[in-house]
Amino acid sequence: MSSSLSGLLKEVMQVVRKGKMLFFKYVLKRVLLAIIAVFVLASLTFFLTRAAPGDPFTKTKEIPEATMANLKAMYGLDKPIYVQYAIQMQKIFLHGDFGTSFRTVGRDVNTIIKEQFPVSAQLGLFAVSIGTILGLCLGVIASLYRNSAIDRFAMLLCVLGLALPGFLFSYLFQYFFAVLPVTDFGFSAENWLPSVGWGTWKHFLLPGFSLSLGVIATITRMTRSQMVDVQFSDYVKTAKAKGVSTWRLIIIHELRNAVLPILTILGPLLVGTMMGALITENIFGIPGLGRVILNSVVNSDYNVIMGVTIFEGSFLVLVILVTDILYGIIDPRIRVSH
Amino acid sequence: MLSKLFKMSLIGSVLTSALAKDVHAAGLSLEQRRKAQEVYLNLIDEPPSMDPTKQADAVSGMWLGHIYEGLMTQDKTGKNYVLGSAEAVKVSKDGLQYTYTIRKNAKWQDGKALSAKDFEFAFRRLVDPKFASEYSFIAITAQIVNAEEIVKGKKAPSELGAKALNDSTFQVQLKSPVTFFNSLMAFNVFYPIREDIVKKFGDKFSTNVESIIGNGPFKLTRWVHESSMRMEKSPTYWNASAIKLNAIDAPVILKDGGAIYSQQITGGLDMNMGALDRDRLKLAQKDKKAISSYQDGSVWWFEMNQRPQKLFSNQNLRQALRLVLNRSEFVNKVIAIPGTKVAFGIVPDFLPGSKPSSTFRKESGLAWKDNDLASAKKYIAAYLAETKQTKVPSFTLLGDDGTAAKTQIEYLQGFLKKAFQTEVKIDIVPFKTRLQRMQDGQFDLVVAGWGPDYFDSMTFMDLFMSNNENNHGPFKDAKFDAMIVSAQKENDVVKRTAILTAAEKYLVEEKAGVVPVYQRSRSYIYSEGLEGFVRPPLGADPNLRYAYWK
Repeated sequence: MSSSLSGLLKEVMQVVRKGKMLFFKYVLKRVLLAIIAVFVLASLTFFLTRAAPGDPFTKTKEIPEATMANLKAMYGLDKPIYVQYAIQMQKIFLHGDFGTSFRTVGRDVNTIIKEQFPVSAQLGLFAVSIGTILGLCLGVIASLYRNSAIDRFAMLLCVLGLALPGFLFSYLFQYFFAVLPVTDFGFSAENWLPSVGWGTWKHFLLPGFSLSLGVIATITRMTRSQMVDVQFSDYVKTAKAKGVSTWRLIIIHELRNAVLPILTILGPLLVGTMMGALITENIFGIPGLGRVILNSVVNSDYNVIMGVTIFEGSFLVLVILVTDILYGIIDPRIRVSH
Repeated sequence: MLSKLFKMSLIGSVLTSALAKDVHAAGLSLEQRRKAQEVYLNLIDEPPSMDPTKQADAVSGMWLGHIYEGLMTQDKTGKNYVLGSAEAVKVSKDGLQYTYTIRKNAKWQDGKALSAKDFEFAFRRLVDPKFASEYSFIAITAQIVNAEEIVKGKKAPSELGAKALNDSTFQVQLKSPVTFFNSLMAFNVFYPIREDIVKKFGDKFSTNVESIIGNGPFKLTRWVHESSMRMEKSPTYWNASAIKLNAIDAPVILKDGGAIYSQQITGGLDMNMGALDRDRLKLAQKDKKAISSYQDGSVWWFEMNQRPQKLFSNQNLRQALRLVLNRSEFVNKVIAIPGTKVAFGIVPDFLPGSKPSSTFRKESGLAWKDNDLASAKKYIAAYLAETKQTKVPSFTLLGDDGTAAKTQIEYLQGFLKKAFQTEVKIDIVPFKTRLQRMQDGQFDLVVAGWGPDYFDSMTFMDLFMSNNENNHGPFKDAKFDAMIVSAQKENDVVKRTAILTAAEKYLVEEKAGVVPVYQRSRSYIYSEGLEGFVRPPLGADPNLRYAYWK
């Protein structure tokens, strides 16, 4: 009796260990792939920025030769390109140092990211949170009243939200909620929503909602199609036959299953919203990474382009990695099949 | 699961709101600003460098112009140069030695007395190759003894001909006389710098409020990077009683034209560092805002690729281009910004001539019949006969993707097509690509502009010397080079102006080495009641030093 029990225990442990090994291998593989992805990204960015016409010191007024030589020596741009590449890769991957900006003198890229990224992150998190809540609600409603006027209206909103760029909504929101009341109805700017700037919770509203429209559209569409799929599955029929109440059916039985695939896109969606708010940040004068990115590209600010690209790329890769691993935990089939 | 998700999103949004720091929550309304003598200004960008020696852009230049003051400075009109931190200047008879006496009551914003040593330190720092200042060439233009050798690394910075004789006397030795030397001393790169502050902050000098201590009328009191800035009237400034504004605040950095305009019409901003485009100008006229215009000092012209084998190496064709252009139509109908002027020379209106009452342009008098089709035709015929062709070959107009530039270049394409009876292509590329192509000589024609660096016609005239980096044609002419060199050595202003006007005539009219088109003007709106500010072609723009609310 006891020996058969211990044998069973051993067998179970073996399966668990094998599973652990498999899982460990799966995670290791993902992490290695992620590191390679970031390295390739860094190398590509390095050579592409160098290949683009002009350099950080190409200006309307050309810098005299002697000064140019001094400047290039100061920033190490006088060395052959492969030496520059080796130095920069070493700095980035061994010391986590992106160097200094060529444009904003004395501000290093790490500081710029440290100071400006949280702003973009807060705004993105706000927009995605609101967008997810509203998108789920709208998606559920649309699926419940499938093919009705409400559904069509929701889908129309989705198409608009996906097809029209977010910054268009930024302009419209700014005009209708912050400019029009002041110019045509005589409210003063301080009593109404602030049209530009950053610093209080009020400053989140206009840019946040205008950015959330794209998120709402994505989430609504996914929720609706997932819900429609689930509504026809056998277990829902069973639940209905058992007489489960409508709300319980929707929330516990249907939405719970429908929401899983949505979770997997939330990570990339969040990163996309944080990093994709360039123009919205510009319109509302928000001190995020948006203007930094625009300026760095226009000015061929090599180090800032490198820093921001690698930072954002790693962030995206990390989010995907975490999603993959979580998925592996939730669904064992995935880690085995990979 | 769902309820958890709901909770998480809620917590997320609450957290994000709570995390936001209250940086400048309470803005002042227009009325409150009037009472407080405070101006809200839009910063169009984060200032790239607040280090006076490193500054090379308009945004930083605006702030520095209020925070620091050189030996000389602009007067209330922005047109004349008067004594700034110096109370007296003595010039030797040969024009080779300038001796400045520092004001006794001139102080730094931390209360320390201003010393001639602070100027010595700044001047040496400017030419130090280790420091690689983009504007180090100004010291060479100023002919300061040994400046060129030091920039090229052949001599030590301590050998520069600019020395503090004692705490209150600063002396500069020149290689050859520079008639406009005093006006140069108002330029940013010649502001005083404190060695102890630079030493204390090292690489971080001028990157935050603590490391920026000036000697000018305003003191920097807030700098939230990429977000907002503020400067307040400095009580230690020697002429503080002449300053009426209490603060100049940049509550936000806006680059988007629409957002800036919205802020200005809702009373959120009093002034913008940038300018209105054509469409917003019309809108502003309809909205009945206070509008004004100013010439920014830049002149725009056709640069023509004059390398051998290139089409515009032919002088007859260049002459045809010079004569055929319809400048007044281009200025009035296409650019359509009030104050824009046609240009027949390369030196703008505001630069001085031989007398204070006169200007370079008045003394030059260079002009011809605009849109002279008949003469242009003759030159084209001469070109065709000379090269045995029946038709002018097609050529390309290079431009960049700035929106204003685009409409202008499309007009020019149509115009040139008709004028030269040939196919004219346009090549619109990103800004830096355009600059690179100009440097590499990969263009036929390009409309380019130049803004002045200092208060003398030489800032335009020496551009077209054979060896100048900004001469993209390049126009290479030994006679022109010799004329400029002789003007550089001339200490007599009348003779010098005569040489320079003749050189300009030779370059533009005789050789058509460059074809001037227009002098740029910029329109802007401002809050009514704001007075005393200047938008000058040189120096801090806008200059709010003497501004006040009525």
